[in-house]
Amino acid sequence: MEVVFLLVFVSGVLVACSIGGFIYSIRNDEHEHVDRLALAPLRDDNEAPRRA
Amino acid sequence: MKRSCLHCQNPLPPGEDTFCCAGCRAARALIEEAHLEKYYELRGGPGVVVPEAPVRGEIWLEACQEQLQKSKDEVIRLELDVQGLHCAACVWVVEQLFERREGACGVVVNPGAGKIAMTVRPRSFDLGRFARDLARLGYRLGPSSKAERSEASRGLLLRIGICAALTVNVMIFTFSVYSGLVEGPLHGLMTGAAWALTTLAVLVGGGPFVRSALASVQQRALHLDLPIALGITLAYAGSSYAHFSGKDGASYLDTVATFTTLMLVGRFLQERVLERNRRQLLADDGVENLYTHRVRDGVVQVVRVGELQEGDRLLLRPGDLVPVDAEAPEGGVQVSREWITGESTPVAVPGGAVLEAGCFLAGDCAVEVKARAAYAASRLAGLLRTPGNVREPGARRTPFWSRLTRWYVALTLLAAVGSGVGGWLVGRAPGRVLEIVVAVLVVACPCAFGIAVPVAYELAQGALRRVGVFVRSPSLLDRVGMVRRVVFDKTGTLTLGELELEHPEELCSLPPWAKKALGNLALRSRHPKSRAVVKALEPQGLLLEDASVREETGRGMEGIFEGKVCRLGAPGWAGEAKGADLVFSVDGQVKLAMMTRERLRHDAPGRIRELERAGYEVHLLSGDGVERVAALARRLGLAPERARAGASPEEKRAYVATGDALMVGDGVNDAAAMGAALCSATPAGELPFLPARTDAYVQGELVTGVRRLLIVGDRLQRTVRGAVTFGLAYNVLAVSAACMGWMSPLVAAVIMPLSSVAVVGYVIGRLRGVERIDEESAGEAVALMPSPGAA
Repeated sequence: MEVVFLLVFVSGVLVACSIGGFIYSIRNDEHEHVDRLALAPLRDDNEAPRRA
Repeated sequence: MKRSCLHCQNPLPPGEDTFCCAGCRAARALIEEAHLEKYYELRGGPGVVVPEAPVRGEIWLEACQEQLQKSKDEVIRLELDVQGLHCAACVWVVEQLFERREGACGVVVNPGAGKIAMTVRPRSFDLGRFARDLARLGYRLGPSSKAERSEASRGLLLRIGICAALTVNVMIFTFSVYSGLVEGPLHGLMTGAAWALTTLAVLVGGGPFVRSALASVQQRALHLDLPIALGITLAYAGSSYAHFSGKDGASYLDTVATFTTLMLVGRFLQERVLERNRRQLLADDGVENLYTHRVRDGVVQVVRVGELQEGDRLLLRPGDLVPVDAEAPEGGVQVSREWITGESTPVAVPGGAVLEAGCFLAGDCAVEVKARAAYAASRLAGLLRTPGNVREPGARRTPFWSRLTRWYVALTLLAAVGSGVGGWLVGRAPGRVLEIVVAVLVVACPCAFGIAVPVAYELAQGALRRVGVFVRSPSLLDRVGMVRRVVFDKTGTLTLGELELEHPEELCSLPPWAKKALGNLALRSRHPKSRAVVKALEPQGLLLEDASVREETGRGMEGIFEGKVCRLGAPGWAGEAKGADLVFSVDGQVKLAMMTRERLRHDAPGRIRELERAGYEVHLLSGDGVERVAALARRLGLAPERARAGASPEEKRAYVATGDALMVGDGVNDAAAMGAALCSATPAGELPFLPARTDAYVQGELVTGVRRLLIVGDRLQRTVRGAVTFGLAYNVLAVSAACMGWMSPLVAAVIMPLSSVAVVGYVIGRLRGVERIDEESAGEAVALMPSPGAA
């Protein structure tokens, strides 16, 4: 029975972590680069990463 | 089988078997030259629609390049705005073109913000060439002047993410209650966790609605956010009361969290649609990024036109805009006044006379002129200050959707109050009365208005974007349903601002040497009539030869070939010929009498017929002369009474201010009419501030774009009406059940999201592929015409 309380606590922590990750991603404007990031798998492995 | 353009997949005009226009031909050629065919694969469909009309040179690029050349840094970072980015394929092709340029170091293309950040070696990177390559593919660079993404939009996205994560967990916790867990410590844990997460969701997600509802109450206006905010607040209060008083049966916790999240999604879509359109265009920069060449102390400087003062010396090249009233140089110049008056024929301005601001230099060589006034005092400044998006009272009408919302809000509140009063009168306990009021507000959640309508607008605008129509004004798609008259300007709108020979086949009658002489005279002139000759001769091969040729301003070209004096120019000067406006003569003898006419946009005749078949009145409204306008109306099959010539900007404004006109124009002389019309559209090209001030901006085939705008607008309105009808029917049933006290939390929790999904599914089904329906059946247009008064 106690394990359920633990599970609820763990799920709460996971929710908090996922929300934290989401906030971090939005603050870094990663959602604005989805089209560019979607191309990453198409690039050659030996291609150097480009940064502006 | 109907064939389509190899680049944009639009239908091909008659006589063409590969591309719909020169723009698409150039785009495809560049893609093949650079081996970028993967672009089509990544887009999963047609390429970006390319402007058919040529875009004039942009002096801001010179200023930028000058800064690059002066830079002492080894590597510098350059951020520019870019117009026309849609998807990953756009990003890929821009990156590829950049990487192939010498001096290119790194690039980040951001389609969300419509920006491109480049790291380049300033002395070796050719920005102008890169900009021209992009322009060939339909992307346009501009100085970085777009504002950063608004904090409000980012905040909304954050709220959605947080509320969605919380809602999913609330659902999981509440599911245990629905499954039969009604007592014990585990029950307490589950409901307690659900309540805590719902509280967070309401705090995070309810804020925007509560603030907006309070503002609407302060302004004494019924806004859709009022029932949303009331629903969230009362449902949360009722559920909390039930939770702490141990009555699970009244707990709407998961419904409250779901409702809040869905409403946030709807709000985000509403805001994103417009922001995305704005991001995909260059900024509405007025004259901020309009540059010219000023000569000071013998040095040519690139300056903003806003800095010009009376007495400044300006260097104007062929095709340049005259930014302020100026004094024509000795010997006179040829100018095109099409942008300010609609007159398509270049006119000669004698030396010392006033060159009107807004003209374009049409001559063959650069000239130096003296500014007669500062920019701020010029007529052009006044015209460009006209805010095109501020509609005049006659053009302002409230869309049905907005009117309906007010009624809906009033009726919902009335039903909630009525159910509460009714429950109290029949002697129900206060707790039960609250339950019923909450149930009414929750089940009456305006899903159709709050989610389905924003989704419909997003789909419609996305569909239009894909075919090169960019909607800038929030209410345009509500207004196009009321359009009955489509009014086109002539020069630059229905015509491309270029001339063509009426009978190019007559050139074949010339002997080879005469053809060569004619070609050499025409090649040395930038006059539109000469260009028409060049265009007609091009298929037969043209070689520029060393010859003595001179231009006589306002008359034509004269040269000596094989010892004979050849002239190409106006009748009377080059030789006498009736029924001709261009004459080629040799030693005074007329060899060829030609007639030119304006080059039409290739899609205009067919699409205009379709518009008329669909029930729209098509009008031609121009500042140009009677004969030219009448000739164009005949070519388009328009009735003479629907073609008006010689219209001044004020007359144009009065002509369209009837509350049912869509004005399509491209000149500053159309700006007043665009503000007075019910809605307005403009083609791509020219300078960025006109597209930025109209309701819609069409890249690619203009008349096709206008027709698609009308079709999509009409389909959207029908879809919204269907969704709203569904929503109202659902609400009447659900609210009735809630008023009677028959609505349990479980039923409400199930049917509320189900109804949302159903109505959103209906909207998606109705609007999928709507941008291409005109290609399947032109005849369908008849059925698409809105019935009078439907809006």
